[in-house]
Amino acid sequence: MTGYVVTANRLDDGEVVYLTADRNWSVSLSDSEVLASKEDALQLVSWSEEPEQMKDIVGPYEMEVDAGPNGEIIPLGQREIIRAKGPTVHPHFGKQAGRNG
Amino acid sequence: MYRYDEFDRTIVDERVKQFRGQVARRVSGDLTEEQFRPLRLMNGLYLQLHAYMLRVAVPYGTLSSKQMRMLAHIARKYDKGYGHFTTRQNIQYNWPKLEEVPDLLADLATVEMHAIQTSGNCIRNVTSDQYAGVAAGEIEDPRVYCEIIRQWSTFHPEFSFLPRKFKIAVTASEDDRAAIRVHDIGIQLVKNAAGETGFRFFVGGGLGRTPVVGPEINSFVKKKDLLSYLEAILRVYNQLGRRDNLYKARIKILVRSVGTGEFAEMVDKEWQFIKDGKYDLPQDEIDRIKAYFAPPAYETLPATDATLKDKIEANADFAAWVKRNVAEHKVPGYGIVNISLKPIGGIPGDATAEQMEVVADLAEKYSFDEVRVTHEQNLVLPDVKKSDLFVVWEALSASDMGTSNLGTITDMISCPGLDYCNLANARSIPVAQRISERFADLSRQHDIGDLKVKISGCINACGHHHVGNIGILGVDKKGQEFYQITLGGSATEDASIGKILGPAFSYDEIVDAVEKVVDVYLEHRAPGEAFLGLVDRVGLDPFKEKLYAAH
Ligand code: SF4
Repeated sequence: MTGYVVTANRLDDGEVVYLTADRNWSVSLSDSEVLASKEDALQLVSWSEEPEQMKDIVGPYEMEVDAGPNGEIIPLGQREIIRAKGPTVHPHFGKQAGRNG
Repeated sequence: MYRYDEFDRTIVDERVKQFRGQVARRVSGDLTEEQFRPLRLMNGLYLQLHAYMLRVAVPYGTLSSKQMRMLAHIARKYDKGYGHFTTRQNIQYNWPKLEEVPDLLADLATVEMHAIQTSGNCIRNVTSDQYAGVAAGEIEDPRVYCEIIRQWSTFHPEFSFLPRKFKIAVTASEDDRAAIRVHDIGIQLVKNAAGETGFRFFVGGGLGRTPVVGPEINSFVKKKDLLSYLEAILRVYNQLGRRDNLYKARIKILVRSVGTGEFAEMVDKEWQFIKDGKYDLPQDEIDRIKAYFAPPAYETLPATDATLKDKIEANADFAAWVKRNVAEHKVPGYGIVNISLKPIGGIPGDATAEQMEVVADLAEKYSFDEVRVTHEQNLVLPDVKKSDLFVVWEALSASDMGTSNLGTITDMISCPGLDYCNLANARSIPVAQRISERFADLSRQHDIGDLKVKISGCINACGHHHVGNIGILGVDKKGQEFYQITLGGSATEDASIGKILGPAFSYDEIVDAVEKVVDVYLEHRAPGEAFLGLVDRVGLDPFKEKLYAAH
């Protein structure tokens, strides 16, 4: 079943972050809150665009995800897959380096 | 090389200070992202998929060893140990942290470099021929005029908010190595019938969504009129360029919609108001700038070098490299060394900090302290004595920069694509890497001969795919990467836009498709016939048959 996650880039280093259920931003997609409808996601995007939230992040938007066989959250589309991992041409850079889980 | 005067130094230092304040205010929350974004873009700082990206200007692609060492230092200190040379002869860093960027810019300023006007709707870094000043047959060093244009356009108050970005390229050779016909303005130094030197102007070229080969609007503009004529073009564009539609805002759309003749007349009319006035370029000003680009102290040498001949005979790899990567120099006994940043399977245009330092050392020791960046994402040592070629090649080879593939199929242009770029549809780099690996065999490459492959990850065409002999454009089909092939493009003096071959290929299919295109070329070419010649002669049909027959 597809769902939606709100994502953005962190202000200080541009790192990809995801919105969690307790309204924090996490570098790990597995921490994110999966929303059932696009409307719910868009509401949270609007909330993220409030000046208070935008102190720490840049450019929030909603992205589509799928559930994996073990309940893991899988980004849909090549762009989000690459954002969730790092450049495919540098397997040691970005999130895939393991630094940020 | 040009050196900063007091004025240059002050504006760059002030800008660093100003940006430091802006970053601090963004971090403290005093500036919103909406307010901050245009400010960071004015300083070349983009936000990409995984991190910020900083684009540093390399004016007309010329660097000193000291500057190259600073670029290496920045790669190491503020990035992950590498940088990416671009089709605008600039360098991009992929991982700087926002709060460190002011320090990075302060470091850059110590070697007279900056990131000003590398983004935004202003006149961008003026590009030029990487063989400027050393090419045999060149009229004059075009960088003199690039520098004059740089000074005129930097912080030009009237042209800081143009309808769209604006790119100018200048060359002084018949062989166009600077792709001037696909720039907003392309300028070629020429001689008129009376033997005077002046400028030929092409306007309204460009790639992107609407690729256009720029038409000529003036066959001879006198030297003293360079700036007034440029000013007139920019004024007409600034006034009439479309600000209402991002996709129609470039000058090429304006030139097309009014027609070349009409556009030339509009420029002429505007020019009459400002001609012979304050924009006049006096000869002593030209001479003053020219002095910065005075030729180095060349030795008087024989045209051929006996030791070089011996080395070539003794070492086939070296011989192949000299043949492919060393170009003729205007001074006897010297050669122009092309450093390939396209090792087999490598990332086109990327260089590590260590590689940059090797190049800086070689430039200092063997090339009068100068390095050039090419729009094809390679580097050049412009002034190497023929007797030094062997040691230079050994040092380059030891650092994976000695591949003898200049101009071959593995010497591809590739934009960053979906591995980094926020606007991308598909990846470019791994496609380039896979093509490179497929054609790794150097003798096969040399047998194929000159063949320019250019790859862009989206229609913005930073990878110049429209003007590749073989162009590859990444497109998105429901989140999947697909690639469209164009054939017959060229960025040189015979500039042309490639034609679309047919339906796009998947990520898995694209390398086979390119190989089939090459097979058709090898099968059908007449002796000595270039790829473009064949496409001209036989059209796309034989290629279509081979690629789509089974579909
Ligand atoms: S062509 Fe597209 S994908 Fe490539 S760098 Fe330019 S904007 Fe990004």
